[in-house]
Amino acid sequence: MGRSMFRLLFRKMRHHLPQLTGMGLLVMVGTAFFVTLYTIYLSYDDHANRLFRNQHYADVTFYGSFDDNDVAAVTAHENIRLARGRFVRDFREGDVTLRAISLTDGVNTLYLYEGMIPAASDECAVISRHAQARGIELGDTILVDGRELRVTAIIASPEYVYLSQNERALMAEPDRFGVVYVAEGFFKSAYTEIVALGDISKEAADEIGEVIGAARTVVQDNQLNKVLFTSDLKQIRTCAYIFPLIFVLLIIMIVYVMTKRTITLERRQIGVCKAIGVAGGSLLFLYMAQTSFIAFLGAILGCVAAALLCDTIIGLFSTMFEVPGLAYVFYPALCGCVILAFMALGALSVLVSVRSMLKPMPAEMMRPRMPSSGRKVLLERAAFIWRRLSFNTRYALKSALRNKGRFMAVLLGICGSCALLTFALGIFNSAEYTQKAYFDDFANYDVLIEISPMPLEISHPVREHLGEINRALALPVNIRGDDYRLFVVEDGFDMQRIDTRLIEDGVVIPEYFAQKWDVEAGDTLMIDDTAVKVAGVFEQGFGLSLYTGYEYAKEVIPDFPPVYNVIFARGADPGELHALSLEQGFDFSTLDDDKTSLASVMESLNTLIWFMLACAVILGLTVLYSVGQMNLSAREYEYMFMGVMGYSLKSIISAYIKEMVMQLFLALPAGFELGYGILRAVKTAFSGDSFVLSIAIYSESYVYAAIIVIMMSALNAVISCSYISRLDIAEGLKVINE
Amino acid sequence: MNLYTLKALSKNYGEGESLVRALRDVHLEIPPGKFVVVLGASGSGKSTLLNMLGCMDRPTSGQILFEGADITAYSKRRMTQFRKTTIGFVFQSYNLLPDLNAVENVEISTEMAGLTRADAEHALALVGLSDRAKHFPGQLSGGEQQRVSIARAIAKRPKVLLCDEPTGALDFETGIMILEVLKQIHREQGTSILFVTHSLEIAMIADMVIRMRSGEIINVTENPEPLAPSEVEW
Repeated sequence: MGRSMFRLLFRKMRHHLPQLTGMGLLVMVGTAFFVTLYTIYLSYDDHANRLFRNQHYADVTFYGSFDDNDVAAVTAHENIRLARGRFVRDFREGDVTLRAISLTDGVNTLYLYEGMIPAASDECAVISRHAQARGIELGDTILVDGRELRVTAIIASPEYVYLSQNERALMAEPDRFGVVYVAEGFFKSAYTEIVALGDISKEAADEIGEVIGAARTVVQDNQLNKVLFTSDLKQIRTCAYIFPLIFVLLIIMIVYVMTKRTITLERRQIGVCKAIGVAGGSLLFLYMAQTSFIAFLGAILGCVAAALLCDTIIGLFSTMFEVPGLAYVFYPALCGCVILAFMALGALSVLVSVRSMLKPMPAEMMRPRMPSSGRKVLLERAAFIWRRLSFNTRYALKSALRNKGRFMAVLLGICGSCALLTFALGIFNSAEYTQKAYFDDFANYDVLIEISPMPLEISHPVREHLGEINRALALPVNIRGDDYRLFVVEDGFDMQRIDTRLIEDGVVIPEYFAQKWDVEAGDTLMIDDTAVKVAGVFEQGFGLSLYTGYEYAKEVIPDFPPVYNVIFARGADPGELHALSLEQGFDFSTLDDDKTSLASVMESLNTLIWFMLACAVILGLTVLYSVGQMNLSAREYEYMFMGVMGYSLKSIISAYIKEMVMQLFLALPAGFELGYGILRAVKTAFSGDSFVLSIAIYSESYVYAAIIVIMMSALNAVISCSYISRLDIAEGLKVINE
Repeated sequence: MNLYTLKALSKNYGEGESLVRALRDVHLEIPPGKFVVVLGASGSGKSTLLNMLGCMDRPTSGQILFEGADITAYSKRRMTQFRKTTIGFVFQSYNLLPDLNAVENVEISTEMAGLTRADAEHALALVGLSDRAKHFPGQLSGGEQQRVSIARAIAKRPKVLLCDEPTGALDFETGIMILEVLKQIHREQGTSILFVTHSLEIAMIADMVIRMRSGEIINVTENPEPLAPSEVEW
């Protein structure tokens, strides 16, 4: 490849600057989006796993009431390296719930941001997000269980990457929930948990749990904290793939249309090059290198943008999770692969469109092309409609449909942009809808009180302070290797909208579980070792649990205890309950707490949604502008000639706008449909055992998406119309003659 | 050995009702080192013949032997190689690459043939355009562009120069100048030149004139005393 070809390469690029810039911008945004999210994914995965490893995140946790003998029994197991007993208890101080956890040596150790690990029983270490939210500093004193504790350390914990209070408060508000680690001397009761390290399977852990009489055994992968971590990783990775995929499709389309047009325009030049002995490969290089070079530049800029964006996005994500040291990390292999992939994409898109150029002999390339035979457009065949249209409208329709490549590129651009806008707004709507569906329609209680198991015939003292109540037994169950919660509820249970008639005949399960386990009403499901009938399936988006009645539970579960450990209540005063909880020793959470917690999860999605909306707008503007420029350069002679024929500027612009309206008319519904389709496709990535995204796109979101796309098209039309109005008839005709 | 030997050469375009027989059973022998004019009216097949001789197109049937080698049997790659090393083209509409300046337009050809930029500059000097080397085609007159086109064709020192009506788009004075340049190259470098034209007057400067009509060769005549370009008028 001589330097003449390189010279030609760069000089030719000047002619396609708007299109190449558009393509470069798409590559840049696509790269920035992908590299940002994928870097966060890799960095988060890397940092979090390092935290889990370095701070010895427990491989298994046993819940119940234990003593040192139990700890010794766990330690004695061949697969357990280390086991420690600890105390965990929630205390309410005003509107703040503090979870006090006794320190364990060698398991779930603390990551120190500052200070020293508490040594005395009047000292504590506070988790950093709570400390920040409440303005707690080293040396401050905080109240836990009525006792004053001096803060000796601000820490992060491998088990609280997510500040999860429980299954309903997945991400608690840091100013209303905090975790404090205290020295063992703080508690004067039996251990409530045993945390252990070891290479142990779920089955083996369950066996140990049985031996020590654990109420619940949870391996690391099933810990709420770890489940949220895994699910977030999946979501970030899924998002990283979706947008660039649409960008890639549009890049292919733009490059294809641009190159096809270039080849048509430069047909004679290509023939000359062939005539003087330039080989097909060199000509191919000439066109492939243009797009590859732009893809290279775009991808490099995208990587730079990602480097600038990453820390900001990580900062925004920090409302969801806390991993010490999580920051932008340059992954050369990732950037290299993305750059190469986009370069290859640019080159391959060109290859597809220029294959036709390689075959003909030079003489054929140098002959003028046969004019394409004008064919009737589809609407033209409907003569009764076609006849009624004005000449201007007929011209607009025929013009739009004349070049299928350009037409499809515009449609795809509008459609893609509209789809991404619909998708981004749809995620927002779906999250809101899921929240609304649970709190307004499904949950019908004010507080949920967790007590020690109590026989059904005995009323808990707190009952006197509550309005309407329903009692239930919350049982940890194992289904196909994973832990779930089964509520055995009283007859007439109406605190959650499930069909109480069905629970007499079996277990009712959320739709998400039914799909996950591939069961439906009437099927049999193994819960622990018991075969139960699936009596019904219902929609639940949050706090997913299984439900059955006491009668059925007695029927199928051997030695089923007729006790309750949960009270759902309406008409309770949280302030009064707080005082009672301290006095009577129970835990409670209000629906409002859960609502606030979920709202903060939804808020964290906003960051991603704004990022996606911005990308959708860039995508739309870029495609519309670059294809619009191609259209203009292909048709400027035509517009000038219309001017020569006496057409007014108004008529020309009117035809142009009619064409644009038709494109919008066709592409917007397709965009809505595609956006909805993408949302459905990624639903699983945004759903898990604790939270299921219900798909919903509100009509106003469609309207917003349409308005944004129409505004982008209008902006492009203004630019185009201004260009058309500046066309010089005489100059234009001269150019064509040359 | 003949430069070219054409045996039963035919070229058709299109098919069915739109079939055009551009060349019909052409037999011809062209000796080396000659200034040959192919004369004929529009549509007589002279440009098609030139395309076949330059490996710019494949015949429908027949053979073209170049110095005894059958170039119609060449692969595409070999044809490209043949054009690159052996043939120089001059077209009626110059066909310079608008993105390259005069010397770069010549250089693209010398590069192909493994020659240097100095060769390109030398070729440009031969056609008297050294001072316009940095000008782009859009900044050159028609005659200047055609001279750059000639420089591009001769810079790689081809055995044959194929000229397709190179004076067709030029005014008389410029046309004469182009003819003089070509004659000079023929004379000084010994390059065989095949010159397509419809002008009887231009045919008078040739050593050999091939007359064509409707895709057939009517006759081939030798011109024992060709005129100098300055003696021609049209």
